Amino acid sequence: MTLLEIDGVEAGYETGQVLFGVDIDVERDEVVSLLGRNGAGKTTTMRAVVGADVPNVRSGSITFDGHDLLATPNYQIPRLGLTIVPEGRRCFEDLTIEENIRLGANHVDDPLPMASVFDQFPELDEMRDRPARNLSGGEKQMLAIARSLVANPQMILLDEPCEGLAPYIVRRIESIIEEISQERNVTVLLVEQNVAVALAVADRHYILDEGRIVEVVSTERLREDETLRQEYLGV
Amino acid sequence: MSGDASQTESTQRLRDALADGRLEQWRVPLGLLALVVFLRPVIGHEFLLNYPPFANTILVWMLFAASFNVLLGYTGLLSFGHGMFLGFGAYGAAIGLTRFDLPFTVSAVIGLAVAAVVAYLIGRIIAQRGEIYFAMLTLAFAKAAHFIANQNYGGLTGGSTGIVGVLPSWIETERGVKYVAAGGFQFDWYYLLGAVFVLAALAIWQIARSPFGRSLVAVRENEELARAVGIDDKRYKIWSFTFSGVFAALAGVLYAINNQGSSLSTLTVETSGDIILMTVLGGANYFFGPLAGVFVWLFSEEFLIEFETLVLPLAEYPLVRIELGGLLSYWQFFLGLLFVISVLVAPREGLWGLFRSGIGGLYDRVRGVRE
Repeated sequence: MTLLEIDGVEAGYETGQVLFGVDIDVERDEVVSLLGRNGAGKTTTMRAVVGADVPNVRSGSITFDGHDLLATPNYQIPRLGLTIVPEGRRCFEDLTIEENIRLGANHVDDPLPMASVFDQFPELDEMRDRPARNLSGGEKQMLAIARSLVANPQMILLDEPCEGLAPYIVRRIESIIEEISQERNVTVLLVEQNVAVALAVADRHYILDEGRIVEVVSTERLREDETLRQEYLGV
Repeated sequence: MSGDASQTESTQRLRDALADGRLEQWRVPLGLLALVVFLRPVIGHEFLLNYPPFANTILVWMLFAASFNVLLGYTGLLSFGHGMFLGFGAYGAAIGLTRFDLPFTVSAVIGLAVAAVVAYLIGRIIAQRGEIYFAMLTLAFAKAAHFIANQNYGGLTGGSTGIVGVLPSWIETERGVKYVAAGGFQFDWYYLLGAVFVLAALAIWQIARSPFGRSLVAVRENEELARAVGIDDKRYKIWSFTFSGVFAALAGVLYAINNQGSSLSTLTVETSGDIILMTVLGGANYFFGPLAGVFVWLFSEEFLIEFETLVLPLAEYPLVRIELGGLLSYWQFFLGLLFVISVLVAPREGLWGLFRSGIGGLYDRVRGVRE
């Protein structure tokens, strides 16, 4: 059953169009990755889904669990069961870890208990009264994931969660994505430049190039087809 | 024996509380109490202002600044017209009392209600405008309120003189000092003012640390991210503006008693500007920051202007006399300079931030974790 359906989305900024008809279907309980080079339109796609101020979506439709997202005020999207971990591991720096996570829980109808989230992130539990400002990059990323998870979503969008992090933290994040997907049955759409991460966690891969989906491939094909990786991802 | 045991136990509890930060939650209530208890004797001391009633004025302005900081410090909205709400409180109380012969408390509540409704409506109109437009629109609304009060429609507001000589029936004055006289008791007005101040400031603090207040901080930090976690930022800004307006109006009600009426000066751009300067000077990042800003500002204004000759070490034992009259009459220039420096160095930290980091650094040196 399709949970998120992005259909023929064209979107852009004042400076010009970026997406030229993007189609993505994510089934319930899947982990799907969206791959592409810098400037391919990955983040623009994510922002279009969660209804950020920019880009402007010019045509197409985005449906989540039967709801038309383009007609939904963006602050109501978490209530529908769709949360995002934005790029740059953004947290509310002046608030403590606990306050950050509580914010994620306070604005939805049926959040997870805080304890259940802290159980999954023992590194955050140890310093829940510390302001997010004082955290390392990896800890901020954990916090951003915890904040979106506590809302008890059906689906999480992760925008480049491993960018610029040390290899052992990347592995930790990979295992968190697996836990979220397998133990909590949360559907995941992962935006990545790092093909290794996508190969490790995702079942299917959409490849975005110059604002269009050029390939939808399985993990085996992506692993084996070097020409494909060279052509669109440069690896 | 049991006394010893319970003493040991309570000492242990204090240690535990200190260790896990439970005392932290008493920091603000105790700080506010200490402020009210010590402000008057300190201000009134003969070495300083030698005029205890000035502490009343300081408390009124402190409440005004704390209300303003709900908007600036917690929500990140800069209003250039906050004096308008101080005016609503002051005029509401004075108009009800003098023009309609209502009891003071009823007039005051009407003043607060008018402030709440107006703040909510203005908030709805301007909350979602960009920063600069928000600031300009607040200025425009405040100008309009000033104009209306100055026009004295129907003889309600008293025009440029305001409404003077107004006091509730339970306040008596004796040589400029106000007393509360009710039910056979008589005590200095400062204590009632102090009680209202502490309660109102605690309410503001409670709002700031509630989930609502934490959401305001989230909106201030990053509106887009706030929306992404499900916060309807427009609604939160409107309610922040409303709460801020109501507490400013409460400061206005206290102002009306303290100044025996309402003056047009509450509605001026200068009043709105002063409260911004005091808040930023003190440090918008902290609950006590704006309060410190008010103290420094008003104290300097009163103290330095009178301070013409510095006699060291004590007036009774003059060893050194320095004539400062010429220099200190420029106190606003020096405060302005201090303001510019504090904004350039750390715009949200202010004097209170400086004070805190100074104390923190000293503590670390004493503990030996810093050189």
